[in-house]
Amino acid sequence: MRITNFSKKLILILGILFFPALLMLSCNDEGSEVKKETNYDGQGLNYNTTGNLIINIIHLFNENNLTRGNKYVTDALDTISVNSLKYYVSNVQLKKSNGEWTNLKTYNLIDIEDPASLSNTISGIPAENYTKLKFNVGIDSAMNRAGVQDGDLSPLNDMFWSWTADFIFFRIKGNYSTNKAMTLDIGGNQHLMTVEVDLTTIKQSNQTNSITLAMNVANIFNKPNKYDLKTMSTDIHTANNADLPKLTQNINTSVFTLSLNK
Amino acid sequence: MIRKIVTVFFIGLIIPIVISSCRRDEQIQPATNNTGDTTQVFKPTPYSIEYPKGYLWPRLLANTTNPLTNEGVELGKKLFYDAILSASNTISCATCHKQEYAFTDNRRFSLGPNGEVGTRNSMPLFNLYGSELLPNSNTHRFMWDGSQPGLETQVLAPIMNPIEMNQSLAELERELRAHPIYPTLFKKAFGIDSITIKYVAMAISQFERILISGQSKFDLYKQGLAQLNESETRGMLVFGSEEKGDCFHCHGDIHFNPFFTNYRMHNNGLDSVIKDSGLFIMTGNPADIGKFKTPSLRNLSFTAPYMHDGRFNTLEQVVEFYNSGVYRKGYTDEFMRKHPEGLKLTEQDKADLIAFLKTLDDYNFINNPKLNVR
Ligand code: HEC
Ligand code: HEC
Repeated sequence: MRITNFSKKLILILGILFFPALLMLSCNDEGSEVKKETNYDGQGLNYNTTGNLIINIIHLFNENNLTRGNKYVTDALDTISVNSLKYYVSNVQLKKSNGEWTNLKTYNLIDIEDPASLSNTISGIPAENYTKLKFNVGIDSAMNRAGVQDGDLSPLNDMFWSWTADFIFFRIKGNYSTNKAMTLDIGGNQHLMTVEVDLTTIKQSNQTNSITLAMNVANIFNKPNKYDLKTMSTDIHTANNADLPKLTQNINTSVFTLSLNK
Repeated sequence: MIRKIVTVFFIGLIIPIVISSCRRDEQIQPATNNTGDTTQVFKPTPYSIEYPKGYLWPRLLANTTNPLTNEGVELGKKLFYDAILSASNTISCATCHKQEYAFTDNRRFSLGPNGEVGTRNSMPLFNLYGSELLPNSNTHRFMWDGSQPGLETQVLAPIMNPIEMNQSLAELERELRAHPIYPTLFKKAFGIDSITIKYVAMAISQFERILISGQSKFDLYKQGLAQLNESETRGMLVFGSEEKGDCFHCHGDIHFNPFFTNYRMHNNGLDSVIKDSGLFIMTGNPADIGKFKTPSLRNLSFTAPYMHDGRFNTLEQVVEFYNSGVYRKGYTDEFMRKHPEGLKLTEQDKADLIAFLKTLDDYNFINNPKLNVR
C-alpha cells in the first residue's frame, strides 16, 4: 500500500519533471522524424541528367561571420585572431540511393583571402539521387605521393612541406593571447580528415544544384576536444606533433555543417 | 535550317566538353600551335635506355605520368646544370652533384649561396631508379633520412631550401618563362605553353633516372671480359662471407644485386650517442633512431668523404670502422650486433676488401660526355 502510494507519487514527480523534457524531445524529434518519413526519392540532391554541383563555403566563428584580424574567445578562454586560413577540400563524394559513393575526384584549395576559392563548381555528376556528401580535408595518400602538381595543388600555393614532400592539408595562422604568433599546420597521410554531411534536410533537383557549407572556426578549438593554446602546441610544422589528433578529430566531426540560410 | 540548328547544337555541346576535358585531364595531350600548322604537333621521341651488361639489370618502372623522352632528358640535363634554379643564380644542382665525383661533391658539407654549411654530406646520384623499385608501402626512398618519397618531389627540396638554392618557385617560373630558350624546350618536351614548376621537376627527374652506372671493372669481370687479381678476388670473398666482412646484407648480394645497396634504411652503428637521428625525424618511431639510407658501394673512389656526415675521408677509415669501431648495441642493426667482438679482419683482409671495392669504380660513368653540358 505504502509502496504503491510512493510509486504513484514518484511517477507523478517524474512525470512533472520530465514532461517538458519529453515535449522538448518530441519537438526535436518531430524535425528528424519528418526527415526520416520523407526520406523518399527526390530528397537531397536529385539529378535527372548529368549535372553540376556548386559548393560554397562560408566561414564563421560560432554564429558570426569570421573576420580576419578580429579577436574571438575559445571555450578554453584563449583570445585568438585569424590572419590566414587555408585548407584542401578534396575527393568530394556523393552517396547514391543504393548506398554506394560516387567519388568526383576533386582537389580544391580553400583560402579565406581568395573569394574565388570559396565557391567551387563540380561538373559531370551522374544522374542520381544523393543523400549524403563526404569529402576529405587534405590530400589523399596517392596524390600526396604523386609528384609535383599544377593549379590548386602547385607548391606555389605554399601548402607544401618541401623537406618531406607532404602537402599541408590545413593551415590556420594568427595570434593568441597578447599577440603571440600561432601557426597550426596539419599534414601527413595519417592525419587525412574526412567530413560527412547529411543532405536529406534539403531538396534540390536542378541541372545545377548548390549547397553552402558553414565552417565554424570556433569548433576547431572547442568540440569535442578543447584545444587550450596555453598548454598545447601553438607552432605546428611536422606531421609528428602529438597534439594534431585533437585538431583533426575536431575538424572531422564538428567544424563543417550544412548551412540552410544561403 | 534544321542542319544548322543541329550543327550549332553539337558545337555548343562539344565545346564545353572539350574545355572541361582540358581542365580535368592533366595528361599530356598532343598540342598544335595556333596557326594549326601540323608540323608543330607535340611528339617527343621515347628515350631508350641501354642497360649495362653483366647483371640482369632491373628495368625502370613503367612510368605513365612522366615517360622518358629524348627531349625531356635533354631539358632535364640543361636544368640540372643551370644556376637559374637558385635565387642568387650562382648555384646549380651540379654545384653539389658533380659528374667527376659520381655526382656528389668532395666537401664534407655542401656550401649554400652565402657560404652556409649544411649538416649532411651530399649524395652521389646514380642508379637512383633502384630506390623506386622498393615496395609501394616503403616511401622512404631518397635523402639520407629517407625524407623524400620520389624524385619529382625531391627536386623541390634543394630549390626551396634556404641554405641551398633558396629560390622562390614563383620567381623561378617567371625567370624560365621569360628565358630566350626554355619556353621552346618545355614545349618540345611536354607540349606546354606556359612553364610551371611541375614540368621543371619532371624534366630533372627524367635526367636523374638515366644516370646509370654499371661499367666498372667488376661488371666487365662479370661478363668474362676482365680478370680480378688475387687481392681483389679475396676481397670479394671478404665482402660476401658471413664470417668476414658480412657486408652483403645491406650492400647487396654480389651475384644478383647490381646496385650494391638494398636502398633501405639501416643503423650501421656509427655512434653510441646519436646526434642526427635520421629516419626517426620522419617517423617518430624509436626503432628508426640513427637509421640512414644505405648508399651504393659503386664509385667509392670518387665519392669521399663517406657517411651521412662525411666523417671518414678514406676507405681505410671506413673499413676499420666496420672492423673495430661499430657501436654494436642499442638501436644498431642486428647484422652489426651479431658480431659483438667486431669483425676481426686481418690487415690482408682489409687491404683485399678495399681492392675489391675499387673494382666497382666506373670511369665510363664519370667521363661520359652525354651526362654533361660541356
Ligand atoms: C647546396 C648543395 C646541394 C644542391 C645545390 C643540391 N643538392 Fe642534392 N643533395 C645535397 C645534399 C647535402 C643531399 C643529402 C641531403 C640529406 O640527406 O639531408 C642531397 C641529396 C640529393 C638526392 C638524394 C639522393 C639519394 O640517393 O637519395 C637527390 C636525388 C638530389 N640531391 C638531387 C638534387 C637536384 C636535382 C638538385 C638541383 C635541383 C640538387 N640535388 C641540388 C646537396 C645539394
Ligand atoms: C646493417 C647494414 C649494413 C652493413 C652490414 C654494412 N653497411 Fe655499409 N652502410 C650502411 C649504411 C646504413 C650506411 C650509411 C650510414 C650513414 O651514413 O649513417 C653505410 C655506409 C657505408 C659506406 C659509405 C658510403 C658513402 O657513400 O658514404 C661504405 C664505404 C660502406 N658502408 C661499406 C661497407 C662495408 C665494406 C661493409 C662490410 C664490412 C658494410 N658497409 C656493411 C649499412 C650497412
